[in-house]
Amino acid sequence: MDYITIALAKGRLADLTVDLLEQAGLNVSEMREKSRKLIFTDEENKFKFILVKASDVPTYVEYGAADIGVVGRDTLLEAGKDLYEVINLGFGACRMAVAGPKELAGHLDEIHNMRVATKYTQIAKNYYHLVKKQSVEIIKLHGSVELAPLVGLSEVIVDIVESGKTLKENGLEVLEEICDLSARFVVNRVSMKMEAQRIMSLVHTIQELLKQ
Amino acid sequence: MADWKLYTPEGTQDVLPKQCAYKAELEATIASVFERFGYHVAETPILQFYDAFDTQDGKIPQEMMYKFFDAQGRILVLRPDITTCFARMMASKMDDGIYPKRLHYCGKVFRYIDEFASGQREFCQAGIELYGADGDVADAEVIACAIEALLAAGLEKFQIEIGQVEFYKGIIAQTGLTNEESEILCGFIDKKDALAISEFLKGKKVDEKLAAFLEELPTLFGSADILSGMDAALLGSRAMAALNNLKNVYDLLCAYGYEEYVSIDLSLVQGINRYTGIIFKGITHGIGFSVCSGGRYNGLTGEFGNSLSAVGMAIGTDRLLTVLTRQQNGSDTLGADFLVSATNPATAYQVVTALRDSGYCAEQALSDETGDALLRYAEANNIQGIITVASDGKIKIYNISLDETHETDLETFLIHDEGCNCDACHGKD
Repeated sequence: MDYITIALAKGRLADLTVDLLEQAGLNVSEMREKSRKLIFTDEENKFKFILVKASDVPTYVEYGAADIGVVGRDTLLEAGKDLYEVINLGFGACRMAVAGPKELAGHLDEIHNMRVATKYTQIAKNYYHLVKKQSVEIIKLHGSVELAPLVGLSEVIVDIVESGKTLKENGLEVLEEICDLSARFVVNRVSMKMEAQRIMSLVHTIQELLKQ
Repeated sequence: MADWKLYTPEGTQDVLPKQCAYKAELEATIASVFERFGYHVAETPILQFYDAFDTQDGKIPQEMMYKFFDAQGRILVLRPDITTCFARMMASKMDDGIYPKRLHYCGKVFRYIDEFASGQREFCQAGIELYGADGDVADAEVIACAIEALLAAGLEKFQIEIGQVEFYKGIIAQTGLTNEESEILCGFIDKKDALAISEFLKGKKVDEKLAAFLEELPTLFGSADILSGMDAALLGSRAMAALNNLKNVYDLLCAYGYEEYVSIDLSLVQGINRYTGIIFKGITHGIGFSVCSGGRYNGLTGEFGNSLSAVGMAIGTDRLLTVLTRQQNGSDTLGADFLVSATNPATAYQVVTALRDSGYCAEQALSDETGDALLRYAEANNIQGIITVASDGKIKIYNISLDETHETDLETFLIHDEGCNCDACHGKD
């Protein structure tokens, strides 16, 4: 029997995923130990777990270096890879939204050549091109995106909103919702078929767990 | 200014001798399978007019094509696909009223962004097209040919998953969804995202049972069992006809003895615009992408003025090569049979010619090096034996792997031919 490899996004998401996989009956004890290892095995069930940077999860799965991945939908949308998105795990729930000073509420369509600051250029581009059908200037930032409208770098931002607290403290608010984000269980297109039985049985187990 | 002279453009690569030999052998193997199925080889230019690809059916997005202008300002493209070129050729140049016609090809195609080539923008496809034959048997022939080609290539453990686009289109017709809605739904089904399907259908006035079936669609893949027990009244006659075609093709392939290589996926909807019937993909271990794909496209030749039923498939030979090297760890290609070194070049040439005439691959040593230097060169190039001719006509034949030397003279050596069984000739093998 070949190993089935699951790619986990390093950080909080990995911890939540490990809990879920344990409930699903996999042996994750190796991952519980504190270590710097990046690859772990469950010899009994023939599973391998690899820890990678969140934004790399879709790539590992698309190329088949991992059969399965667990990653936030923001990362998936940004990467635009060709995968099966089999389960919405529900955790890590938050939204992708357009935010800006509250004076702009209801006036967004009146701004010409709007500048949009974001970490998620692909999501922002798709939203404005395909949904809003609007030409905008997208400015790529790597952090503290809320700052951009305050110092005049952009009119609005596109970012992940969890509680909205950070926005509020900086005098911004959600102006438009783009989509819901939560962690997804993704599967490589070929693995799904070549290992159909084992992968689908894990999928069903997890779906049952999520119903509880 | 950046200097690019040492690089090849993104998505293209040089193929070095060892890899190239393997690739050429693979392409020859595949072509010979196509030939034995009665397919005739044909070629089409790498340069095509953009207009040929600006079709209604199965349009290739313009941002995927390499485009430029000719001297008259017309838009040219590097062909992003060979099927379309062949459809043009078939419809405009080969109509003699006698069908079916079978063509095969092997050539480069070019796409800017390509999900089928794992980052490669220039890649090779070997494929077949069967024109003027509709129905189950024609569909099954093309899939059977794909299976035989993959087997001949030495691929282990692979699956051809088969779907039918009319099945999906038929169900959509039952739901009353608009084209735009259908495309969005198609995207969700393609991603096997059951939750998104159910959320999407919630707001729409779609029959409850039908909505439940669409939610279940992503899980409908595997053996032929999933085809049974379908509710004909619910799905409608169009979907049921598609299902019937799928079942017949599957049964035919089983009857041909290919049961272990075929499976069914009713939610196979990727790239369905061009396709009008059966659709399939070949997948295997060790690579996350499909190695071949194809289907029925009865609308395409009509775009070029002669409506013909057509079904075809293409194997991505670069991908197949990647898988084969991974699955088999690659085989070492053999070097020349002999390296011939002589003090007199004319004598050396006489010897290599004699060897070449007998069907051997012989290299003439071009430097004055002897002994160890020659041996090192021969070993590095996987050459089997070294022949040295001294000025007095004495010949030494050294078999590298056996570490044996056989001695003879020029005159004796040259009269020996293929049928000869003497020790010297035995040494040649």
